[in-house]
Amino acid sequence: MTITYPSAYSITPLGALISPEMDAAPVSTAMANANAAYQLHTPSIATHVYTADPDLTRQARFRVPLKPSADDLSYTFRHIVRTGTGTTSVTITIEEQTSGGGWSTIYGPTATAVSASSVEDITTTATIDPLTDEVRITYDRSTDPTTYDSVTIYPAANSPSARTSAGFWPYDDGLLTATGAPVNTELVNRPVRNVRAVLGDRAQCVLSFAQEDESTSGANVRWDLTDSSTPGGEWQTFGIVTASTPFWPDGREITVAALCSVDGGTTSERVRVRTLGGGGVLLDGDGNVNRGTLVCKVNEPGTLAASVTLIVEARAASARKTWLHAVTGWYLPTPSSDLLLNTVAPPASIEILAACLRTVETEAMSPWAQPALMYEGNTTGLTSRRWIARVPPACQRMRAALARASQADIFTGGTAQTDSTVETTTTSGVPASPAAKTVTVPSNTYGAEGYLNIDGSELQAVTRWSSGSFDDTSPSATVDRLLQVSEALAPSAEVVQVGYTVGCGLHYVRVRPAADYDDI
Amino acid sequence: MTDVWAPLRYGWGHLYWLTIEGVPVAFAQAASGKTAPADYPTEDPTLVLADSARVGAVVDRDRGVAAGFPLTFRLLDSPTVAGYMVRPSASTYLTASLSSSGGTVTVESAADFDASGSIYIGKERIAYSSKGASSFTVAASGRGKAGYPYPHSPDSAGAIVTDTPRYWSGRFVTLYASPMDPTGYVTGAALDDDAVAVWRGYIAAEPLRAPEGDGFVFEALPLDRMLARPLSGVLTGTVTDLEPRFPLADRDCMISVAAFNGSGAQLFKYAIKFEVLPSATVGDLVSISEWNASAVAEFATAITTYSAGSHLAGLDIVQAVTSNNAVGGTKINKGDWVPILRFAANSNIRQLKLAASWGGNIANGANGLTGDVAVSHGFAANEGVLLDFAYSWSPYQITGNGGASAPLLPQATIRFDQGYPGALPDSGAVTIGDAAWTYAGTGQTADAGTVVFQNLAAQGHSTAPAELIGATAEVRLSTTGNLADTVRRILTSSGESGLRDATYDTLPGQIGYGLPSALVDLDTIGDVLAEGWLSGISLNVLPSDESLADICGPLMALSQRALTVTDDADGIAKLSAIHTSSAAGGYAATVSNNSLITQPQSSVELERVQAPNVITVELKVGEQEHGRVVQTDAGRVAWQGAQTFDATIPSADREVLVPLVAAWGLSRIAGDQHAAMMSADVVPWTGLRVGDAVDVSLTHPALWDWSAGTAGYTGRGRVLGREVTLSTGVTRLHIVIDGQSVSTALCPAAPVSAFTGTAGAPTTIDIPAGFYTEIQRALTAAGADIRLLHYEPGEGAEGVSEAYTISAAQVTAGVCRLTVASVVGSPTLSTTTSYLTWPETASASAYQQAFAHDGDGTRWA
Repeated sequence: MTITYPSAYSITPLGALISPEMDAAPVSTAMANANAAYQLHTPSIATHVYTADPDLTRQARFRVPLKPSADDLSYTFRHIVRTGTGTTSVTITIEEQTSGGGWSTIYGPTATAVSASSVEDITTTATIDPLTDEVRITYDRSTDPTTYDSVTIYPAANSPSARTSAGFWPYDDGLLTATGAPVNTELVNRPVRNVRAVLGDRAQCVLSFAQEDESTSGANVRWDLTDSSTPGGEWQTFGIVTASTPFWPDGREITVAALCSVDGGTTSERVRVRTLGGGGVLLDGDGNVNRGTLVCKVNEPGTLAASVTLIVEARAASARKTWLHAVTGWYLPTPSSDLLLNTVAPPASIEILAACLRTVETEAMSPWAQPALMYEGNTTGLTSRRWIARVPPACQRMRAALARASQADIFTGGTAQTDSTVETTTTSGVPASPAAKTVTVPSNTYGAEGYLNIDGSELQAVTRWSSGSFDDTSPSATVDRLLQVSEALAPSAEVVQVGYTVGCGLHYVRVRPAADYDDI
Repeated sequence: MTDVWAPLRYGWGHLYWLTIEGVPVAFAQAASGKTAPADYPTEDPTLVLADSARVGAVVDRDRGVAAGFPLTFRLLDSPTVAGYMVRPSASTYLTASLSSSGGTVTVESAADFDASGSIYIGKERIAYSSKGASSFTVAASGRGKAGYPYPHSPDSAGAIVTDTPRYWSGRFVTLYASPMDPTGYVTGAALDDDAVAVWRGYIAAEPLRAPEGDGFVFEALPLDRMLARPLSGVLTGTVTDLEPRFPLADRDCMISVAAFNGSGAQLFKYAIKFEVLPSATVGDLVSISEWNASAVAEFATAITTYSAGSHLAGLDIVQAVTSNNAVGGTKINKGDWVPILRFAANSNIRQLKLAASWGGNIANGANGLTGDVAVSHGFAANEGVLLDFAYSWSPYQITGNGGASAPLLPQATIRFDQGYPGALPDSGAVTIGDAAWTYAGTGQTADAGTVVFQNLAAQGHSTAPAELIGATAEVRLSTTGNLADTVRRILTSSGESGLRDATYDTLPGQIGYGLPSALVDLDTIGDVLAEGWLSGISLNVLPSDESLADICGPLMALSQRALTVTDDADGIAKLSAIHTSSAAGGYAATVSNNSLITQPQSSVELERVQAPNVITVELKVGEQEHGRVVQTDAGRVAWQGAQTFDATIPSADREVLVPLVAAWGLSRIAGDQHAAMMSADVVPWTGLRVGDAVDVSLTHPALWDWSAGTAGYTGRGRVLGREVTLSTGVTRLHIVIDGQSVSTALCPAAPVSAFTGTAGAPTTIDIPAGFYTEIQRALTAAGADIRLLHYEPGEGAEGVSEAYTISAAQVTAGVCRLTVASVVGSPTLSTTTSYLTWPETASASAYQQAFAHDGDGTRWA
């Protein structure tokens, strides 16, 4: 008579499937895992590293398009804020809006005490309405300049007690724990039904960009686009970033939502998001959140290393300005709705039992997409960017795909560019301690490669990868090596900080195979 | 449903009669005196079955398919038989394709044929109402007479049209049994009123003259033997070009031109409409070269049609080498295609007004020209002006500054050696020269003999697309999907989409058996083969001289399933899927001592079921290996030697399959070492079908009951084979039974769809009709009311305190309607959340207890 939500998955060892006795235990384990998935399957629905001026002394607002759950879920918001010398609190307000119908406050304004001259990780919680297509986050500071680094939004630990809109049927153990309980087809079907309902309801952020100021004035927009940047009507690249899309087949569809406005003239098809070597989607710049479906060209499809390189572009009409405020791309899985069992009384076979157990384990713990983050990182005060990454269970090693930036002019001066750096909590903490434990990714060869430049670049932006093979868990010097993350039977939140980049995405290098989950 | 076997216990018998595809005759054992079936209007009492051994099938658990027994029959000499055993008197051949529903058969010459009658093409008999010099007009409902319609191609060497059948091999045969009372009277007004199809198959070879000299002997094989026929999924051809193509949407174009002299007087004016690629079909893929060439040619023709030759010379379409502006100010990008209107010599022209629409005016922006074009000194011959538009890759993207871009991935157009192969899979693999490519998207070009393969992606090589022109191409036809859908597609696909089944007949005919859905129990195949983990496995089947049994049999064997011919719910023999494990809860019938045939002797026998101790499964798609999984019982290997089971699964889905194969391996390796296959001759009226669960209660000393430790056997089993002696109806059953461990079936759980009465006190409850059988069996076995537990999954408070006692069940209006005798506890019935299931052991009937319950002593098997 109890609905329990375990804090970690439980793996049934192979030996337990050798001619097991008929009792409630194997099925109830699958049921419990499916309940666990409701709290543990928590990919980020939006992770945005803000593009805004550093050291702001004004209120800052960011609008983030997203796709919330159908279940009226409570979400965790992790804000990274860099405070100035005198800042003692940061006030945060979160609002939601559907189809431009007006803002509703879902959090705050609430002031959070912070330390001065530090990088603060502020956690807030808010319930997002299922129909919401964007949230607006407003930051204000007490005194002194503050830099707003990022926000990561992911499902909090929700515990439904009845069927949900997404199709999740929580497991109450009252029936299966009864003496002589019937072991029926619905009980075997339900764990798989449940885990698929959860997977199909939780969007996985794939692409993000957000810059300050949602208004049409463009006063605070850091990266604007005019026909002085590029000829009128021509596409100008905002970013090229690579997202981790584990096991995706080629041609997978994602949703891209953009918020864009213009200072006049046509609003039609102002934003283009495409994948390198694949299709594209055109979105209007009418000040509303516009969505489109993007068919992705997937690199190394079907593998853990599968990735999608995404290109965000915008254009301005002649003598007009275009302001691209935000872009979010997400993947919403469409798991099979087929039930494991369709016949009335199928044989109670090990295959069916294993299918029930293993399908839940493997689908609940399968790695989710890691977003490609696009941001300004090429200005003093913005060269070091920090955010929270959601790392799925069973993940052991990752690497970073970095869109390079440099403070040095690669055409003049003759100096080498600054190496990029990556720091994660599990490796040695953020900031890395000692500093020698920072993962350092060598810079591009001088003069050979370029980086994103909104004002135009003759060179093609490139992706630099941190090491995908060198595994050094106790580094004594600054080296380029694999990123060590926390492996568990539950997801974790990893703090990530990178230096000298304008885009980044974490990618999976080693995830424990499903057959070895019981070794975790 | 007519049960043709049950009456045998009361002295009834059968009149067997048989039909052969495309032959409008019911061949019967004796004249029935009944009205013959509509499609078989002639009854010919010439059938002899005495030569046939037992018919039926026994499932081979290690192959995943049944091995059916042949039917041997003889047709005695008669005028009817003789009429079909003659050389055709008229013969011709097809000169045009004929779809399965085509109404005109176009041939080289119809001269030798009757004015009306029937013709034979392949296995199909077609009735025609009239003929021309080189065609037949198909009569109403004239296709597929006494059989099934087929598509026919003039490219096929077999596209010969005759007035009698050219061959017998491959034709479907159906054997019917009509009940006959002890006086020899066949029931019903018509021969097929009470008849049941007890056997289905196909003629294996051309008939032979009977040694007795009194007729012809036919050998027919059951449908399941067809599954061993190799499929060849290889098409060959040549790459003709690599041009990008776009789907043709509209062919209509128009160019308007008016010319004026220096005084403003109009010299001439034309609005010339023309149709580009007039022979193409909308949706065909065409290249820009084809479009442009046709536009120039069709405009030239139109100049003649409009009698404009004295003023207009023609149209050119050139590619811009630099970006520029057209006369009206429209921007032309480098690479855009630019139409130029050419004039006849005319020195008087000083001003032009031009307008155009292109490709049906399907343009994003304005399509016509406005504004006047000044001409300073008239035109010399063939001098021209730019029309004020340009287009890039697609003419439907007529834009001011560019427009659509060409596809990023290359395309290849391939002409196939065997002619147009029909619809091909949307994605797959193609080998060009020695290099492997994948493609995504296909389409027919304006040239009906070629197919465009889009989005080519190199597989492990760097061959430049430009090197492909003229190369030999080989396309491996494939089908992807889970096991159930793959099997259903291969079974039904005919080469003409939707012909045999609207959902599953989708593949090219080369990789399908084209079985009519009436011969295949598609629903049951879906239920059994898409169950459990199988529903989530993606197979990628590329048959190359392999049969369905080769391709899918190992997977079915591994998962303890099989394809076989068995009776459907109406007693009709169909190709279907069954479980092959002994695990069962309920049962269809009881086999007791009273069921055994003991004369001339008892025939109960036992055979070991081999439990392998090494299982090797290879994941392989085409020639590409994707992994290998080995499960070993090391202890048994050490003491018993290796007993191997090897299987190949056509899938690259390693992540899913590794744990699955491990589970299957455990199931087979750790299976009951004392399980056995029992065979026994039983009376014809047990009602048991292949695949049925059976309640065995025998004391025969050839059996041993490991549960009780005594001779005989009491428990569940599953029928894996049934052989019937046609003359007597005596049936030999093959039943797999448990040994030391007992396995069972999961309890049913039925969602409630409706009820009468109130939610607190319902009088009837509706659940899906599929649950009727088990509910009724439980009621029958109990001989009293049974209890059904009520619970609401996912709504909290699940338990065993709420239930209903049920007194009756019936199928009505497509649902199973339960009569509620009483309510236990305080359930509130809901049509959206309520489920009914067997109760806990303490409240369950003996029949219900035989299903899986917590701590019941059975095991997952």
